[in-house]
Amino acid sequence: MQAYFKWLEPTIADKLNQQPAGAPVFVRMFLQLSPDHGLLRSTLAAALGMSSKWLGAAQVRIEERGGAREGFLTAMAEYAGGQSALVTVEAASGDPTVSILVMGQQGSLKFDDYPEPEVLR
Amino acid sequence: MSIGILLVTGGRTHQEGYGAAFQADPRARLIAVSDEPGVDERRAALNQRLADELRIPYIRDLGEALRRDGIQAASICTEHHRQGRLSIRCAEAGKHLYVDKPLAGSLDEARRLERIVREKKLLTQMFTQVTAAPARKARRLLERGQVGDLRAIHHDLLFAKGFSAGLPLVPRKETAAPAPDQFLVPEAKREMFNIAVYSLALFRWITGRKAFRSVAAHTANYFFDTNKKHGMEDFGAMLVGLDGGITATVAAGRTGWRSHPGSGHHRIRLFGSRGSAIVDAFAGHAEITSDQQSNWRVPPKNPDDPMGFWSSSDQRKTGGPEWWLPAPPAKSDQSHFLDCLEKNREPEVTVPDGVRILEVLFAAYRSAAEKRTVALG
Repeated sequence: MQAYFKWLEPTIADKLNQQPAGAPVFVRMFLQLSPDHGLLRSTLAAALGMSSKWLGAAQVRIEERGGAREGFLTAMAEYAGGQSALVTVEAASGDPTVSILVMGQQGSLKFDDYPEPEVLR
Repeated sequence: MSIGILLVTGGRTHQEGYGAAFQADPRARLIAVSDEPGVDERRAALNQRLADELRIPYIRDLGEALRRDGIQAASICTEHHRQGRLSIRCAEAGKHLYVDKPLAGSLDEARRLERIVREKKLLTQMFTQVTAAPARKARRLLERGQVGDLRAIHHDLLFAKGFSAGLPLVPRKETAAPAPDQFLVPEAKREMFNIAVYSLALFRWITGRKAFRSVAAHTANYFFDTNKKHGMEDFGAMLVGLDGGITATVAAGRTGWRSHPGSGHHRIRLFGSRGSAIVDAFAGHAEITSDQQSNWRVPPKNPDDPMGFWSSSDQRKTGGPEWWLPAPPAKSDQSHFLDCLEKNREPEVTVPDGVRILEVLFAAYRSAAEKRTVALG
């Protein structure tokens, strides 16, 4: 999974740095990358880390719900400049899926991906 | 059967749409537009304008209007700070209620209204989007068992209207707790209050009225200098807990004309014991590709309605061959209300539902102000 994140984070960041949608202010992300409930926590941490980089600010507040038993983790995060994120990691019941929406002050960026399982090993 | 409807408050509110929908339904008969006798000249002129458009009288004194024969129901769509007290007056007069959302600007008034409608056994419906195609589709997915037992529901409702200003990014200091004292001016609204209400109504409706148990919220000024000037958020995010361990999240706001080529991002995501499903309100989107492809353009600024709040100002994006189509509703929300009056059946989102939703909205402001999860119920 690390290899996928190492590709995903700069791919989105490079596009956002060109400011096609103005300064990014909000990230909505859904990740279904593995059926393993034990990976939810680490995947959420990685996703929140990516959000922080895309928004260009440090996380200052987090509220969470869900857990391994429920099969998902959802976090609402606030960042130092007032930016925010809603990030959800779900145990995958089928092929992996990624859905990202970044709202900028002058537009939005939408990214959907269906990574091959081998990329996530 | 003809159901007499009194419209309480006129133009530059959603009454423009509600009144037209009632008038289009052969079961309804519009009686008049009315309001409080002391409204200011602008409001009186807007009331008169809607009355003229609908070819019905404007009765300036609501008390006088409510004494008229032949009125079975009132459609109440005022500024939020008046919504509660005018709904109470109509309920006390024994009228069934079709009310705009959110229900009121004060929880005390909303709870008093709930007591009256229960005592008088009135049929009530709050306008929401549960009768629109995306919500219906999401509920059918659940009822068919496609995702199994519901564990989480996520709703993005981001209206692509208004001219975003590129504000400096600073954390918003939320001051609307315990309750906002101002909700609407001609160039700004509290957008979490106005838009997240649809999400909360969806959650309550789709879960069979499961109780809200907690809310954590964040409010922001990302887009509009007018909202910032008036201290009103243009964006809100929520993390909500419901009975049965169900989790819900909301991203709600007005995000500027450029944020979407159509009406805005609108998605419902369901997660259950068997998997997940997404309902995109614009999944029926159509696209033309050609060598005439051009970029779409935002409409010119309308000083009378700069944020594109009201349908009568008719502001649309132009210039591109692409278009995005929201699915048409099978029937209007107003027709659903008339169905309920005709069959003496409880509407799907009622005044008591509206009170529970208002409790969450006010708690959300508290959460945003105090930076913590707030327990409910």
